[in-house]
Amino acid sequence: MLYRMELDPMHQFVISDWIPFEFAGFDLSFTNASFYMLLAVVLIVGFFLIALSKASIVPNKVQSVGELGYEFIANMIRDTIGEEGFKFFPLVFSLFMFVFTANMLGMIPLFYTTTSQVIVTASLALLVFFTVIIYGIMKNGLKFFKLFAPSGVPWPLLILLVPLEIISFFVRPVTLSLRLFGNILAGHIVLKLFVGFGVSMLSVVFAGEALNTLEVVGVVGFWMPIVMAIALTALEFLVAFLQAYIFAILTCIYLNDAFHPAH
Amino acid sequence: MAPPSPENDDLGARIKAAQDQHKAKTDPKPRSSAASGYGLGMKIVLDLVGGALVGLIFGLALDRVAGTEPWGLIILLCLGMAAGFRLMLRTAEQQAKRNAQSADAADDPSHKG
Repeated sequence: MLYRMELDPMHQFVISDWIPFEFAGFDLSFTNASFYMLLAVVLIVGFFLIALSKASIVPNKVQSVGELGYEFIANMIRDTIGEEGFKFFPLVFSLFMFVFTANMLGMIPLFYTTTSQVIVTASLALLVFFTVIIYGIMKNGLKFFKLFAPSGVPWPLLILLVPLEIISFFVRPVTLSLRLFGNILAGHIVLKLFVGFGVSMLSVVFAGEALNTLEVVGVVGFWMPIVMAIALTALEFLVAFLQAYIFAILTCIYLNDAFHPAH
Repeated sequence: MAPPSPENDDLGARIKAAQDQHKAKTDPKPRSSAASGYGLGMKIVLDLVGGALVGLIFGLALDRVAGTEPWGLIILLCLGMAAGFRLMLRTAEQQAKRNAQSADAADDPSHKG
């Protein structure tokens, strides 16, 4: 019975074990989330294998799309870090492509959105975080810790400011992961809710009972939330790209601190 | 596409000049759009929440490791919130600077509107 259909916008985020597997007390099952992450990686690798298989000076269509992606990230790194930052081109490019592909896969109906899991985005953010710390100390030695001491501040103030700066530094991976997670999660919930409204407004027709006035209004106007959902879908595609872009550019900005700690 | 190297530095410099020119034309626009306002709000909220969250987690961890309950939590939570506020104020400052710059650009007589 479709009548009073239950709205469960969170159901799409449920993780289900596809291949249960436990190792040393850890649950290492292959889940739907794992599958769509793997799918994203396979798609990216496959795309670039095709794009570069017949690499030529005058690129064909697929190759030029691949080059567009390369140029996009290359310019981003050049603008934020400079030429020396190209050491981290593979990292930034992989992160951007992974987040972008995962977001876009999530836009396909019935597909699982891996970036709506905070553990996925937090892992990516922590990867960036530790890369900055390890490379920063490798490159600058102890000078890296100048990052926590703003220049031109008298030392009594430093006692207060240094702990604040250290905490601000640790806030970065938190905000980096929460931003991506929050945007994708919220977008998908809102989409589901709007479509759900439309469906439940219409579904009273199939209940076989007499409709009251409110329900008649619902049946007449069922298309309104659907139209809204269509508009929101377009917005969500924009968000999917924008969040991947923001993730990549913030990665660049944070990496910049590893190159130039004294700011 | 060759990786940037000293040999094609001249070309690189010319490309950079052309790009800068292009950017000067295209850059100021997206700053004023609604999407960037949304991004700014998001950033401020996340900084505030993130600061408190980091303070909370570090405080709890310190208490558990050093057994200083509840002082680690109290002090670090305060520090975390202060750090969040500082980040927020810094963002607001940068935005105010940016607004002042774009206001200057709008006063430019060559730009009518």
